[in-house]
Amino acid sequence: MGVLLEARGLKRYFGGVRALDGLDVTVNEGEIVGIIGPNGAGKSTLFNVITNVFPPTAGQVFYNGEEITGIPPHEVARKGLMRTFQRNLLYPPFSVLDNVRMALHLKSGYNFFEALFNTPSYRRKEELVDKQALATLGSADILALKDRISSFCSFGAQRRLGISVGVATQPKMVLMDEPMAALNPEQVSNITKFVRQIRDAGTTIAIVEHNMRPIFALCDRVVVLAQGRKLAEGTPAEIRDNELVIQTYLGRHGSAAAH
Amino acid sequence: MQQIKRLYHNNSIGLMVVPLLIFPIFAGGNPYLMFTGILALYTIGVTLTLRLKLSSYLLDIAGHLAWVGMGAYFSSALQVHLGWPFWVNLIAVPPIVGLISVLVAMPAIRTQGVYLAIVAIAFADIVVLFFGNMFTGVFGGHGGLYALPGVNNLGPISFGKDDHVAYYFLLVGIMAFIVYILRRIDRSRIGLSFRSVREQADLSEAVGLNVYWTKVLNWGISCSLAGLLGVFFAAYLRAFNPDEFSSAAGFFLMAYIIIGGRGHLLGPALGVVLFVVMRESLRSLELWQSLFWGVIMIIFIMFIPDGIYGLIKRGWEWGIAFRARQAAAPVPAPAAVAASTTPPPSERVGPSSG
Repeated sequence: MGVLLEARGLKRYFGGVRALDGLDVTVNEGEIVGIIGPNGAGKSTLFNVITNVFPPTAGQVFYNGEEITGIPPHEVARKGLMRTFQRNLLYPPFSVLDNVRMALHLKSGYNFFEALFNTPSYRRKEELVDKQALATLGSADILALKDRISSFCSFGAQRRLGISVGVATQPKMVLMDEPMAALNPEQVSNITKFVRQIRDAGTTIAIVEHNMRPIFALCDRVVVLAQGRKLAEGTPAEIRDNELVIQTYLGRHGSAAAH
Repeated sequence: MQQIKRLYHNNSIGLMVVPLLIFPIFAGGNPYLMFTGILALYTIGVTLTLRLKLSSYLLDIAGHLAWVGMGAYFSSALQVHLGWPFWVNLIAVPPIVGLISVLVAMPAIRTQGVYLAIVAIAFADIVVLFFGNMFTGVFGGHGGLYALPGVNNLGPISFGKDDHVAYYFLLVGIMAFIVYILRRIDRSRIGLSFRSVREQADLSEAVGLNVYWTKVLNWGISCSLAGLLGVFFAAYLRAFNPDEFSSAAGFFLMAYIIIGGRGHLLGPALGVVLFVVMRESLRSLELWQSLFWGVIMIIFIMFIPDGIYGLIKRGWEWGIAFRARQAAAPVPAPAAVAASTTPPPSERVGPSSG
């Protein structure tokens, strides 16, 4: 179980705002790591900097033993580090199946001329992609919706589809940005199950989340961020009892009153 | 109902073939009708190639004719000065135009939305100025080129000045080729990735698509097909001037697409046919025509944004639903009807992040 993802001294400034201020994070193979923190702690920025949507001001990112600092987002994805988005970011007018087919295009690997001339190898690859897409939808439990336009699906189904788009290629690692935001408790427990199922299929996961309870139930390790720095790191049980974390979340007065 | 729908979807292009083949039988003896028909068909071709660009939200509407113009000028120059036969130009010129378009796109595509439209319009006018002022010995200056040799005879088939039917079927062949390529793109992962760039470029990037080169590829294919039509245009008209490819002329393409509808390959074709029929029948209005077209455009943009094709499609689906209801079958879910109309492209301009 080696280190799969490592961020070293990661900094990202937006003008005078220090969204990330010298952050070190590691994720080991096969883990589910939760990244929590109050609003503005730099959680989403961390993912955006790792996948280089915003290049880091300073610091390095290593993935699978090689440095990926500064390589474009689509190259990061090609190396097997995928991400899902905070909002239900999908292709609204595409069918559910087409959303996943788009995600699988990396694996289809046919070129322009094969598609133009409708060669047998093109048809074979296309069939394979369709099969994989259907399997992905099946494991996300949204197979019945495959022909529906994605923007007409329910919020919960869109969320599952969004995650499916991220994991369709069975990547080595996926970064999930708030997969449980704005869901009701039942949906949260469904997503929790889904995330576990993805990990059990061999994908390492890092989750940014606001919802504490599912994170503590789900994660092997939790990293707490505040103002762009790491506040604490440890098992869910350790984090729950951490004095600093309680102070940050409840405020100094809150913790003083508790004593 | 599913079967009817499939039949209709698979054959909507096929439906076009019949009138295309019948047209010369009715109009073959009438040069005016043949001329109008050929130019209409050529314009349909241009809007089809433009529609490919729009599928990725590459707003090169007013500038698109510049690529047609390049095809026309290059093939004429090669034919007149180097003696290349038309048939060689037909194969050689589109890749040249495509290559130039890729070189232009590489810096241009760093801009998005309306900014790209501005770059494209500026480029179209540069092209017009270039052909109007540079190498006047080759390109004929602002007066344009005239007395061009046209299409070289192909064995027993003669392409003389009055052989409109021969030109017509040559154009039908070129169109068949273009439609074939566009359909293959539309149905493959490549078309999907073109559309994905319009809908959510951030997501496409996150699943590993090189958004930049996807746009450049789209631009290159679209421009080289436009160049192919330019080769035909020059050979058929045998005379043209640079202003025919200016951005001002290009704005008419927008009218065809808005009036016809952009949801399907047939949409712009309907727009062109309607436009040509109206223009020819409203000749008495003379200058007032422009005003009339302006009003029509505003009405379509405000009330019929999916154009005539969208109207027909909705009517058709309403008919199917109505018949289904009459047969006392359960009412089809409204989502199924709404689902099959393509929503308009999102009018995103800047990159959205979050």
